[in-house]
Amino acid sequence: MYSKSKTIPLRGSASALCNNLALNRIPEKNLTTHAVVHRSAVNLVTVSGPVTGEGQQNFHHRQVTCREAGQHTGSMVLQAKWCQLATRNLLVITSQKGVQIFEQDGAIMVFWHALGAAESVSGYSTFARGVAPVAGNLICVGTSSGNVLCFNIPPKGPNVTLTETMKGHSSAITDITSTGHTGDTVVTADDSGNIIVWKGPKFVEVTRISGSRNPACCVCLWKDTVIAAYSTGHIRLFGAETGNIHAEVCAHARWISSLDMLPESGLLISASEDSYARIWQLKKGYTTEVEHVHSECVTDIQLCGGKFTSPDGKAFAVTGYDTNEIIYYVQN
Amino acid sequence: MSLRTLPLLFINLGGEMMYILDQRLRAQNIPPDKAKKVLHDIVGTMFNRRFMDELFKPQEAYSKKAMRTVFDRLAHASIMRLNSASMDKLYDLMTMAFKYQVSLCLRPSDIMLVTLNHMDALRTFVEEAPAIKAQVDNVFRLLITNYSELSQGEFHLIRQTLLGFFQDMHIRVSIFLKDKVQNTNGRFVLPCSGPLPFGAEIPGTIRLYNADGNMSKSVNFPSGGTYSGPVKEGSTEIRGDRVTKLGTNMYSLSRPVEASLPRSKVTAAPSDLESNNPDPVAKAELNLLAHLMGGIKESKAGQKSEFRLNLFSTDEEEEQAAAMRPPDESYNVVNIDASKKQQSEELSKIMGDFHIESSEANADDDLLELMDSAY
Repeated sequence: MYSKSKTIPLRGSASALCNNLALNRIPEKNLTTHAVVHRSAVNLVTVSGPVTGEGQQNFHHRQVTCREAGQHTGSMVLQAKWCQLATRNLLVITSQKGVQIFEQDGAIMVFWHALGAAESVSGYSTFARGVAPVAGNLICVGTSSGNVLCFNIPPKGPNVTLTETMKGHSSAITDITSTGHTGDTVVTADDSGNIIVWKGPKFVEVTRISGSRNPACCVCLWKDTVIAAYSTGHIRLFGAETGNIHAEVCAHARWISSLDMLPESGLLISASEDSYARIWQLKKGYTTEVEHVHSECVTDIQLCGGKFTSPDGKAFAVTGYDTNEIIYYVQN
Repeated sequence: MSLRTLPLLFINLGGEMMYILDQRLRAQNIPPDKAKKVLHDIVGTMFNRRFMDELFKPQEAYSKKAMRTVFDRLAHASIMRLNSASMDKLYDLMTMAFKYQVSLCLRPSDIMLVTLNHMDALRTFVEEAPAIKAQVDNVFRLLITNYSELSQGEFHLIRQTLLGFFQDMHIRVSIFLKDKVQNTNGRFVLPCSGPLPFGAEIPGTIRLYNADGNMSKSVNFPSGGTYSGPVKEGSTEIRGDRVTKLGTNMYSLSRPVEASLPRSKVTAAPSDLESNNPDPVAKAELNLLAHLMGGIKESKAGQKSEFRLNLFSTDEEEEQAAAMRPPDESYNVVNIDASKKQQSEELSKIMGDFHIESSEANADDDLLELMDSAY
């Protein structure tokens, strides 16, 4: 159903992280930029035109490093993700040092937030992980302490402010998702498998889905359904309002490293360290149901990122630990 | 990233080093009393109590350079000498073996079981030396104290940190190629079959629930893999069942340490970020290096009993490997032949930096003096 199409070269191999592939499409310019974390840097590769089209394509590479002014060493990056807000689109990079926000092309840093004592736990590393845009002008970022930082982003300029710290998790945040910048729902997941659904703009906890100590590594939100992927290879669907379970999928044989959801079609892609990327169809009835659509084995590669690359779900791309390329698959 | 990676990295690499040395000492017909002395001396140095106390303090993992330097020194803690080609090969084999174990472990916390497999074997190596055996048991206790309560999430971060350490290393190892667990491009074979991690279920089932939370339907889908169900949870007890074989000794007289193929040409271009390390690392590393270089003593056994171990089948092969060996700068590893007090330019620079750092360092930070005192 899908077959391997093209590969996009990377200037550095992908690090072993969850959600280690981000995409930014600029339809009006016909550009797609990919972001993949390599140690203390983020490699951006921009392709013009349809990536899966025929013929030679030019790739534009840029490397964004995570370092403070005056320092010659970088700090390990945990995630890179674009956040589309009401008036601007920003690239957010989370690392051991904190949160960096760049203009979408990665050229200019808009804002830098260093993680402070409030986010550090003695004997454990401090880091930021999990990013989502919400309510038009906010970006939520998770931290290793379990706190979620909420930044207010002005329509333009660097005057970003930390407006709120959402407290509810007691272990490190793994992933954050939202209804996008038009909604005010945020879903946060943590290392103990706990998931919290929050409603903004003054964020209050509306639903708590308790875990069983196995990390919930990735979360997505579709209509009123929370989709969570776990370290045990399970994918579970919950009602966002109720916390009730709708479906449980024994999806992968190892840790799941990435989830991506297409809101229009209800298609979901999961990627795992078991080297499989799988596509699922979600259907909304009285409860939300799920069907298996396709499984792709990317031989001998521990997948660390997987994203749909077209809004209709006809193509997807994956990245894997220690590999220097982004691999595209298209529907026949 | 994880501040708890360093002890696991050091112990597992050390364990692999001992497997290889043990096998080569036999293959080269080194008299048993000398071979035993080498194994005892090295384990004793490796597990020096004060050094272990320092190592287990939460800290960033050392850079590749610093780690290599530590093992250069450790391999020479006894009467055995390795030339640089053999040392290169030893380190390549150790690192690829542990990379394999970290890559293949079913779930991140299996790294603890892999470590205990190494510890079990090290204890056997020093069975006849009660003082050294007590050191091994001390490290066992440190491991249990520091790691048995860690969450899966924290182990995941440790595994990611270890994989970061091994990123872009694709050296081909003949024992792996022969067993068909490594491809010719240096990448490990990841099976889509076999056992699943503890807590997982065989992929291929979808369970749907109704509004009351009761299962209403179960549907199967083709998973593509042929998995055999989850393993039981491994034991961290002394002499417990580790369940996993990863981390046990894969060498034997019938499966010797063989010459690995020449360095793979397909490895990624060395990253300019390779040597980047967060600042907190610097102090610990420099400390360590300083003592490594400063505290060198000739082994007490004296020159007479010293012997040279060859990691290659013949001296000719070793010479060839030495000739093919790229100059140190491009190899990305600093080799210190401390007995001749030669320092590479880069290390001199590091040493220069160290003096600034050392004014702040407190007297308790005598890391590698500790290693020396183990002689």
